[in-house]
Amino acid sequence: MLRTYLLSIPLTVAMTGLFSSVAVAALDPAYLAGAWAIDSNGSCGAQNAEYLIFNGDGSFEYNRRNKADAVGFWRIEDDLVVLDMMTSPASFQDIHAELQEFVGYQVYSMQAMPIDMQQDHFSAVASIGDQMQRFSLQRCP
Amino acid sequence: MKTPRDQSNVLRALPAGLLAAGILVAGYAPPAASHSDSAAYAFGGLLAGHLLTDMRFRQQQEARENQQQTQALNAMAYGGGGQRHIAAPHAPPAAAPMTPEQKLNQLDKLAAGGYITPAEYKARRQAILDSM
Repeated sequence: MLRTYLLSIPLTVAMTGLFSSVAVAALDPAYLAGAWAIDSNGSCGAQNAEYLIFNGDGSFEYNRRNKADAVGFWRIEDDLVVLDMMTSPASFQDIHAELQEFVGYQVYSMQAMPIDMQQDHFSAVASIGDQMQRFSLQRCP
Repeated sequence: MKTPRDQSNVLRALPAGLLAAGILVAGYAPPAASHSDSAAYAFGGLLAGHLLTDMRFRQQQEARENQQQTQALNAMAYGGGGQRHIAAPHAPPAAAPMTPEQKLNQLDKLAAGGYITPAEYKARRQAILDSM
């Protein structure tokens, strides 16, 4: 009896994991609202973390190393998230030294296609101009 | 056991050894450090890459405009009445809703580029077809 019970525990855990990974969230403003950490730099509290903060009023902020690098507006169009944003002259100079020659504020329009939407994480393929990038996002507590 | 003479030889050889080590160290060229840190930031790297491309494009455009202005001024100075070309200001592309055909095309590109898995491609394609 006890043996059967003990054997059932790992099975239950495995089944729970299986079903939780299948759960799919719907793309709507309520789902996106909040802070999401972007994959490459670890968890929400990491020092080098990249964040997207979707505010309920339609504005958003891209935050990197605890500084805002881009601010703008977000909206959902069909199954895409459209991000219209502006960066300051100081943005990204640490990423590309060449950008130090570049002055002025810049305006971007980016489209991101969410994939594999789970309750607390999803992946997205973002495109801007000819460039694309896939990343995953994790909801911050 | 080392004699004082042996130790002396070692000490004499020491500067030469240090010199050789110094030459080796000086001759070693570490891999060129990349000034680009775009790989460290997924979202920021994408934006920075686009900005860099845009910056280079604008520099080329500015150079072309300067050349055209110079040609126009030369034409005016030496006859011919050349027209000055003024480039339209740069504007961000307008975001228009995509048609299902455009979505399918985009999906094909994503799959071809390896940005989505075959299973994701199949699911997304079916969703687009269902919406038509």
